[in-house]
Amino acid sequence: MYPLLETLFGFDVFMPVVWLFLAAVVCVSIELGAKDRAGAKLPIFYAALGGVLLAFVSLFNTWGGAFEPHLILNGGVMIDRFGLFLCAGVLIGTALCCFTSLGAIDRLRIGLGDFLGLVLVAASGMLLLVTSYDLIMIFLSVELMSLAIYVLAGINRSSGRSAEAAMKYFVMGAFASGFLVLGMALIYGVTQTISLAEIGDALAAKDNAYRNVAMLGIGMVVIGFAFKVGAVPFHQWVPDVYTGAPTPVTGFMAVAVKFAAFGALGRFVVEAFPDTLGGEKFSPFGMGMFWAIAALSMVIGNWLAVTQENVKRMLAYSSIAHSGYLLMGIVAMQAYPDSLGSSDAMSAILFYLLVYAFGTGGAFALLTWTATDSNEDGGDLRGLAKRSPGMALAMSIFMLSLAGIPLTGGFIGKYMLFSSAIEAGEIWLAVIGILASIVGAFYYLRVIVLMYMKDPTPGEAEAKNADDWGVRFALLTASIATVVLGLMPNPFVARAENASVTISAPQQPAPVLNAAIPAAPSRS
Amino acid sequence: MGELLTSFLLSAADTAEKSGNVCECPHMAKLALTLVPLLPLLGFVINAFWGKKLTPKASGTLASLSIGAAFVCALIVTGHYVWYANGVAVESYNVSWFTSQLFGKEFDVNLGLRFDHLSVVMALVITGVGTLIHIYSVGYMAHDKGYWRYFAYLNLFCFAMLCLALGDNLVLLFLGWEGVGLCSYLLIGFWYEDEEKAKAGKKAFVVNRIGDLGFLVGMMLLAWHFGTLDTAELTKSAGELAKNTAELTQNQWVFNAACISLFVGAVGKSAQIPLYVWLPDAMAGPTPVSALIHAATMVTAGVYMVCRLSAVYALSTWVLPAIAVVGAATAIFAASIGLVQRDIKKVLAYSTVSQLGYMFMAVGLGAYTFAVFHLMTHAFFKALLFLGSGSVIHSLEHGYGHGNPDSQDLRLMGGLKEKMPVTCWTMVIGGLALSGVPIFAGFFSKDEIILSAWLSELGVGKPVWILGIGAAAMTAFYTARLIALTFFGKFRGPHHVWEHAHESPRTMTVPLVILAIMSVVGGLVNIPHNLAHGADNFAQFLSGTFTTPSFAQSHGEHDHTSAEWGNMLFSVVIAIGMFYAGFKYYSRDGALSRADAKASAGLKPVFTTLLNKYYVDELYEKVIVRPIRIGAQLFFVFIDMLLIDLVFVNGSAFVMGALSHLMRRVQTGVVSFYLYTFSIGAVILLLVLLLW
Repeated sequence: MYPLLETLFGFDVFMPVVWLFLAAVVCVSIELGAKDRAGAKLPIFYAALGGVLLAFVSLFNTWGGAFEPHLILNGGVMIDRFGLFLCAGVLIGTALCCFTSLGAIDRLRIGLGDFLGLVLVAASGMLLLVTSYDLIMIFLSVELMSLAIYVLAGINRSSGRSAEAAMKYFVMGAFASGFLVLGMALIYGVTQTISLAEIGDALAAKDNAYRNVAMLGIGMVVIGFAFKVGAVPFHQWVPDVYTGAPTPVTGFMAVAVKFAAFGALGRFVVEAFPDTLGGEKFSPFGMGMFWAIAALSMVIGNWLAVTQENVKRMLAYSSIAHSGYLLMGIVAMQAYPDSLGSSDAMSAILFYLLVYAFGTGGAFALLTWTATDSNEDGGDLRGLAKRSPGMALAMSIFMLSLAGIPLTGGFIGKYMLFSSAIEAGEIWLAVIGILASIVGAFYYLRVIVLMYMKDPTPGEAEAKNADDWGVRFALLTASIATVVLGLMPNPFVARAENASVTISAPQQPAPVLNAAIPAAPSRS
Repeated sequence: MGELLTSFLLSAADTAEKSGNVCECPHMAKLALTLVPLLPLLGFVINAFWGKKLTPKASGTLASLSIGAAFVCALIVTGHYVWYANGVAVESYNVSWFTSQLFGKEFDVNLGLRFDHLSVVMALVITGVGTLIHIYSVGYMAHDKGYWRYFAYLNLFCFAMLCLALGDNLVLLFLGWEGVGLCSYLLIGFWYEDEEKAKAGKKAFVVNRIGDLGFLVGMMLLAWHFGTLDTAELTKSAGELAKNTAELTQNQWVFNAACISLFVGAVGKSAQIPLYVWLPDAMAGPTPVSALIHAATMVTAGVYMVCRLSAVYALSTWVLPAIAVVGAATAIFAASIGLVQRDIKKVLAYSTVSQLGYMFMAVGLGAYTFAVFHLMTHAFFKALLFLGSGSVIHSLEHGYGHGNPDSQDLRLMGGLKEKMPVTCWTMVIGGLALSGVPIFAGFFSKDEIILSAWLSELGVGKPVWILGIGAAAMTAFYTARLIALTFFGKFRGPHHVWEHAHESPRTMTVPLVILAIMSVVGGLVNIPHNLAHGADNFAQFLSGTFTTPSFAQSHGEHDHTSAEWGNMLFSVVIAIGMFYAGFKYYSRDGALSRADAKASAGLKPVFTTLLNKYYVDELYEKVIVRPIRIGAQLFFVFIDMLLIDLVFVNGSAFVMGALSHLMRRVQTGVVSFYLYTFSIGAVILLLVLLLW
């Protein structure tokens, strides 16, 4: 009825990314044009938030309509509910980051426009990443996301640790990108295609003489993603970078990057792995590798978190452990004997990502709130319950959720993940995970003990940013969401299931839109 | 305001009729029903988070308004239901709460409310009596420093109770069941600085937990057999099953087990033998709490639950007669203890236990309508009596000081009629209603229950009838004693207390007067048909709701007019006679000392046994509590301290910590080392990938 509106809010030109990019440009422009930095803060904040909201609106617009999964941009981007769900998760992380950075930006001695501009660029990279359907698109969007985040990690120019974090992240990220791109080259060399589905089909043909080379390539691409999600043994950067980066950035990395990288990894596993049974069942290819990194991540992440004194660093290790739980979901997905069960495992992963986003995003938002000039990490939670009971309550909710205690979303998420692993027959991995998460409960509960049963450190009297409404709003939203996900998970689980069915159903070739542009000639 | 609501109601009805879809409930009714429990919850949230900043009056007004608004909503739904819904239950907005696999079947639980005939009574009693008690509390708690905590708990209680009464499935009912238990615990121990009161709260909680276990077992049996916990679906499946005799006999044990387990839950919550011991101790809470929770609403939850599941109970064989016996035994047992108690609230507490016994008696005889009828009238007159006693205590506390137990001692009262006329005469009305004197509400409901026992075809019918008549006689006697000792004769306490005693403020007396009016007219909704062409209106209204067990179905086929007249005359003579005797005896001066003297002469063993409540508490302490405590101590030392704390917890924490410190060395912070481990890991994983 309204062609303009349909173009603007539809997905055919991939509007969410456009909105985020536009908002990024507006943010930076306001920053450049403004006379005083303080006055420009609110307009910039609203411009960024507006971009995120518009992106959300176009997402819901697409989700709501009855639609078939389809490819756009000449087969480079896949529009399906799986991608849309992950996009929503990325946008939630971005919105949380907008709110938390509002007050914290003053400590970083940088304009909010530059900061949020980079955040929005990174977020648009993530939206592209979770919808990418060919190797080139995956690599480009990984780099678009990563470059912005390297800069964000080092954005606090007055802090040596921040610069060190950015440097480490950049060097190691370049190393991992090397794996990624080399793996892609090997895959292309053997299969002569860049489209994920065609790769899977080509590898399923067993008579290919160079099949093992392509397998090596797939392994290297998985290693590249494993680096991004911070899975052991590619996790070494996580504690240093999470601790060194400014706290709002850490929260953004922990939430949005995890969504994006797991989404892309999940799609890669489903589409590009050799399709041995003609689409009836997921490929068990590479399960040993996933099994190993899942188990290692759960054990080592939880284990090392126990001795951390700094809450921010503890949360970094906890994020490694959570990557392990999610990888267990991928193992379960591969191990299921039928595709229906695999789609259950996939929906467990999606739901867990959502729960984890609110739990860990909220926790980092709280650390932003307690941070002071002298204690950038905001780790001093001693006696927080006496200073500000509301904040302590919110943090307790996040900790209980991350530990997987009932009545919070974390419990439902863990329950879904572990039960899908057990039903898929991966009993031992589930046992390792359960034992590791018992260790995990220890350090999460210790935070609650610190807040409620210890006296405040004398010097740490009044938190001076008590009027930071941005963080307050983020904390309120995240804690309510965590409890709602725990008490009434059904509507969200239903959406996650809806999202995973589209990806795991026996694949039909998806129609390519933009028919005006001729499809690339096949190279077979 | 009122006009606005009426026009809302009318417009809602209009839309329903215009759309030609009268059964489909309009959003208005749905919304109103959804709001009924949510409004008290809102009041709770506001008082819990910001109540400290409010004045006592503002806090109390807010709480009263939220429950009052819930009452208005309940009225709207009732209006819609009675006049427009054609008997189709009103359903609230509902959401899917959780889905799981249960015994191999898909098992859905919704968060939703359903409003039917039974809910009309429950919702109006809870919100109506609840509103009056909230208003009363504004006066009663005006000087307490924990006022906001009090009102927050009270609103939370109303929310939980409404979930219990309106929830459309047993899971939500159980949520409310536990919620009211929690609020009861919090409010009994409201003055937690007093260790005795905190202990009373704990006792109530622990005893209730025993019952809750039974409830859970019953619920699981039902879920296992029927695959649903939705009450309407349960009723439907049970109704179909009742026709299938073969399957019924084959699974008989399931229904008996489920029904008796659920009844164990009801025994705990509704204070029947043997789990009644918590209710008298629960009087440690503020008096309005005793009126709302421990007389009018929460303790009737067990009765309500059995009524709600009447279709399932109809499938059982021996459970209903057992319930009737337990109820009758409790009625007379508690009434006899009430005869000699010296604390004004204790007398009323035992009276409540005894009246709940009557309700279970009716339930067990299959006379569900009369159980619900007695539940309603009892809510009016017992709330009235408790609030009246609260008014007396409040007045005497001015002399004795707050929390002094002397202010509740009947031996130190007397003659208060002069000082507190409103309290006195309203309480006399409540007392007459409790005793079952004609015209007053209690007469109609209690008489019907005793008549049901007489007419019952069950073998236990006649013994239950005898116990019921005996308990009625005792009830009239102890009620007259309570009123005579409090308001008549001469004041027996210290002089300064008499000087300070005064009538309570308006916020307290107005609810008393309203409840007194309800205690008079409340019974008129169900005039039995042998009197003045009464048409059993209330019973007719409710009758379709319940599934009558087979043994009670022949009622109404025969003409029982003569039996009705006989029963009625007999119980009236007993009630009036015993009330008169008790009143005459105890309103004379020195009655108590003479009673004690007489007791010490001939009746001493009986008297002391009654005064010590048959030593049941002592028995439980010796037989149950102490062995458990000794066992717990052993477990604590050997299992908890030695094995778990020392070996498991500290041992594993030590080992983990040590290992973790070891591992931490790997995190050196040197990038080249990181890249080195990265590469080694990558190589190993790629080998795993290719070789596995």
